[in-house]
Amino acid sequence: MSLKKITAWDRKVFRKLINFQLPNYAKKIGAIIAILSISALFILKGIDSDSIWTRYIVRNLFVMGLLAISLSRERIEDEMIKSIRSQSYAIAFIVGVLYAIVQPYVTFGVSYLINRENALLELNHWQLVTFMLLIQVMFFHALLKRCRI
Amino acid sequence: MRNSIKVERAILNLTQEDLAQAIGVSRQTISSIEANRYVPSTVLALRLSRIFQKPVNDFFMLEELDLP
Repeated sequence: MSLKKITAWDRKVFRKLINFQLPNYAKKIGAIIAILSISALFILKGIDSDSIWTRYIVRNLFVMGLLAISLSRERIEDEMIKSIRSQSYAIAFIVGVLYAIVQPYVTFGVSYLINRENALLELNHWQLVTFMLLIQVMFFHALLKRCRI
Repeated sequence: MRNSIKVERAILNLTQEDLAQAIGVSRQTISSIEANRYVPSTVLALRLSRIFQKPVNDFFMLEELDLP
């Protein structure tokens, strides 16, 4: 395989990757999954379930639901929508980095006030991913709404 | 950058929806361009130029702030 062919293949794969999106109906499916899984999380907390696996799977389902909402196309996906989508991902990334810096200290502070001996300086990856996806979805819709006025 | 797309659209008696369909975007995009909330790409500007049958410079104008 020549270098030219490899470069062309690489560009094609990269273009496919950056243009990857789910169909519009995936937004509804994602929203249903997210609502059901967040409800399940509250129910698990309510019944004081000790099953780590159940909690872990339900949390992942919630993230998958949010990801489906985030990746699904609008009915008319034009260049302005793509631009708004890029802006929302950029905002989510920056806010996510700030959250990753601040969150461990906040968690430590709160747990230090409650129980000094077990206070740990750690970052919860699930919270970070969920927070970033929520920020992206929220900003995308806020920016879109601003354009529709 | 300011534009006179609303005027050009009125000359051709086109609604935002008609123009949006003609250049393959949503009505919101046309509305945002007209309100100077969104600056379209070169491709979109050239598509508008084809519809209005005028050069891009005739309906997109640089302002003082856009100059180097």
